[in-house]
Amino acid sequence: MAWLPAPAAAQARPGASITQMRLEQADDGIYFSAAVQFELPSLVEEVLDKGIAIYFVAEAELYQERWYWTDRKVAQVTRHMRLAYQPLTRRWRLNVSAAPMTGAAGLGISLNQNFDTLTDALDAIKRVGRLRLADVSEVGDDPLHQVTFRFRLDTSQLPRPFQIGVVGQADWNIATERTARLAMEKQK
Amino acid sequence: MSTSGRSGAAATPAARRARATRWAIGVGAALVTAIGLVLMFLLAQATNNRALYERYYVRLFGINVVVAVLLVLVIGWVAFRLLRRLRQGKFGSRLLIKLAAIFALVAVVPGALVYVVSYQFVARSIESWFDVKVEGALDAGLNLGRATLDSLSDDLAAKTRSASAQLAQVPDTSAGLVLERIRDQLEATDVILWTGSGQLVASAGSSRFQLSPERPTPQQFRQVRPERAVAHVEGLDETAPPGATPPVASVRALAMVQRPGFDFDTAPRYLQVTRPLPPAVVANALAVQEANREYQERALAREGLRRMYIGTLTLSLFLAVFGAVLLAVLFGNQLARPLLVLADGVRQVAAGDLRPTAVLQGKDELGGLTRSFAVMTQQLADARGAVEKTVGELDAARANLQTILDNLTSGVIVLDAKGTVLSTNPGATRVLRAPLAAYEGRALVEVPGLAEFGAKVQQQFEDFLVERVQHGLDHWQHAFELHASGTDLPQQDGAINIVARGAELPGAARLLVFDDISEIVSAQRAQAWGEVARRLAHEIKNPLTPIQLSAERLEMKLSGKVQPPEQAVLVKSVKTIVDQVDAMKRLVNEFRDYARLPAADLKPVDLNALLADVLQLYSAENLPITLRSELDERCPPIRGDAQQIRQVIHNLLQNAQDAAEAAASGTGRAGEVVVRTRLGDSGQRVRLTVQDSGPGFAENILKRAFEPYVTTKTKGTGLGLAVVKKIADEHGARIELSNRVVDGAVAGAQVSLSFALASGPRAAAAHTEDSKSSAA
Repeated sequence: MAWLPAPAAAQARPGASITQMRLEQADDGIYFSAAVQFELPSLVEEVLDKGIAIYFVAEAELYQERWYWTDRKVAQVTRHMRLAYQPLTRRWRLNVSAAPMTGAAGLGISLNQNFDTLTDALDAIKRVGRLRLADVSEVGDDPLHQVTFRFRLDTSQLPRPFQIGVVGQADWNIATERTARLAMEKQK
Repeated sequence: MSTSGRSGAAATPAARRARATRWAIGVGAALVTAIGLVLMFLLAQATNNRALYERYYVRLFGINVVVAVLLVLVIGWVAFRLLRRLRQGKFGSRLLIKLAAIFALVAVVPGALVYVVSYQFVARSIESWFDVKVEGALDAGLNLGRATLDSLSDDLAAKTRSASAQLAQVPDTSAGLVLERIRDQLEATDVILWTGSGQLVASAGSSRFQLSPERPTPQQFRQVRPERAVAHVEGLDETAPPGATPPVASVRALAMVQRPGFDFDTAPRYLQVTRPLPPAVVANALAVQEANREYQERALAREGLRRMYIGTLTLSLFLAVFGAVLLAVLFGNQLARPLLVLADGVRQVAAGDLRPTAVLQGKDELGGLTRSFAVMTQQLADARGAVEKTVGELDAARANLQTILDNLTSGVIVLDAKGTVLSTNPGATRVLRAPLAAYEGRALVEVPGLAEFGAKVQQQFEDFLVERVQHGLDHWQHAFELHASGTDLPQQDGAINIVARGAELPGAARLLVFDDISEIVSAQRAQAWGEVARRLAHEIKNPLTPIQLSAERLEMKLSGKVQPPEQAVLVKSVKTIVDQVDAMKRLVNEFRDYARLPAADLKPVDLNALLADVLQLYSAENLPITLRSELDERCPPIRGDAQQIRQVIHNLLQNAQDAAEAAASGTGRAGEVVVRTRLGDSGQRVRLTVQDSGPGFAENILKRAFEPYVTTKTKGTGLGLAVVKKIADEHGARIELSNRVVDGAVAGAQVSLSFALASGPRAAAAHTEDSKSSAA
């Protein structure tokens, strides 16, 4: 097991939590994986059912500790996820991209998957796998590396009037953050 | 204008600072208002441009809120200041508040109206976008699309299943031909035969040219049952930008190939058929889906949208209202300022302050008004200055006149037509011996003792008014006698002789001028008596000497020639004649002396020495009374005629002696006469006092004792004190006659004279030394 028990205070919201964090070293770089647990509020599900896409952002940051100064950010990777329901085919579509997907141009370069059920799609979202953090050379030989992982529902990419309606509503606030010192696992 | 320059130069630093503050406030407020307007404009613009608006809405909103808060603060501050000024009762704050309130009302009411209408409009119109019918139509469209796709899928699935039967007896190696046939039958683009593990067995159509065509997912394989085919719609993606050619969507059906009894040990085969969807169906279905999505999105976001629009509206209202109120205050201030300056000036002028008022440089009517007001004030000030100067001159003239009147020995009374006293001068009080000043405003006849006089004066005035018409007189003149007791002696009991002159003043007032001529009358009388005495003395004295000589000659001739009895009669008669002639001579001499007192030859006289000289004659053995002298050795020489003073002393001593003797013979007590000199306290005069222990003067005698022929003595001529008075007058000496009162009873009479010194006070000291040495 790679993740270390984190203090309870690190969790921003009881509704969402990071259950697993893992740092792996492969030949071509350092990869990060995590597992997130959250329940989609019914309000959000309703919105999804009406065909409106919602966005999730997963963010991982790798820090190098410096005893004489604040920690240096070595690497950062972001994964944007767009979940939408297609009423015509009754299927769920998940687009994954490294950049924010605003408009059709963003969707064009994204990877998309179709799911028959919402649960399948959410399972795919909750498993944040193989985020390429950095090259091997960029990371030192320390046994432990400090990694901060954030996961949130990105309301800023919702349509703007919609934002004004939902901003401040607790149902829309799905966010969690955790910082842990992880050991590097060598990939076989 | 010069006044404005002066007032500007006189502006205090506080006023300048206040002006600077006002400027700062104005500029700041204008700036904030401008920023607010620009931001509001931007906000409104942003509402038009969705993308820009959505991106910057929150930021713009925030800035606008900040500006609004700033405006509120400024307005609050201004309002606080106004209220404070109002509470302090500062001039003009009420007007300012009124103006500001009016302007604010003018700004706020339409703003609020527009706001209410816009609010309703926005709320309603946003609601009106979302309609159950529209939603239902979109939903129906979506369902229609879905049903169409479903039917197409089902159709293909069914056909695929039936087609799969053709492959039941076909070995894998020859499946290709069958697949081609199936492709033709089903009008499919692609037909593929898979094994259960996903290996390609055979294919027909476009996928033949692909190395590894897209393989169905294991899940799809699982879903396929022997009796049931599965169809999926592929490529129906919303990723295509609107307006572009719709994506090539297709239906892909998968069916199990049943091969009963043919090849039991091999795995089942799966037939996959791909047929394109009609592009029109796909495009419409996608359009409906997109529209539905957007509709739902907006329906869900309408609350936010409403909030956004109304927020913009509200903020616009706030900015507009705050800006308007601020501008109202500023404009009100600007508008009220000339009025305030004017009102302030008017108040100043009303309070009597005619200093130059402030002038505004504005070119409008109000500025002109302030200028006109300043000119007016200046003219007022000039006029008042002229009036003040005139009044001052008048006052001076009147004070002059008053001083003259006050110091006039003549009495002056101003009466009105009814005889009411309007004003008097001190001379009137003195002459009439009545408190006239206290009776101003009352009739002259009401003054005690002046009833008769007042009536007479009134009568005179009335006669004068009648006569004036006839004779053209401008005044009347008449002599009155006041306080006359009605006895035969006109001089008795302090009767006052006055001569009064009346004239008419402007305004029906009457001027009464009168003089006390009692002394003149008295002097005339004395002079007349002197003349009579002189003539009488002259006429009487002439025959006296022949009478005396004749009598003596008669005695001489007849002495010894007549009988003794006759001789005795002769001697006695002659003696009587001679004595009486002597007495008559003395009487005549006194008359003559009185009438013919020579003019006094005033020289320094040592009064003490003179007294000592005279007192020798009154030696003790000759007298039945005691004579006591108390001489003050400090007395300097006085100005006087030694001979006349000697006479005065003689007369006084004689009178005192006679009185004392008479008293002594009456009571048996020894009479006493005291002669005393004393230097006055001021060192300016020397007082000579002669006291006796006689019976004193009767009241009526006391007043007239100095007039000739007033006497208490049986033998007296009544000229002694008259001579003394005359001499004292010649010497300018004050003479007082009084009774000595001891224990309430008259103890004797006292006459005192005070003489002026021979020289000034300084010389007097030296003379005092002289007199001391001489006395020693």
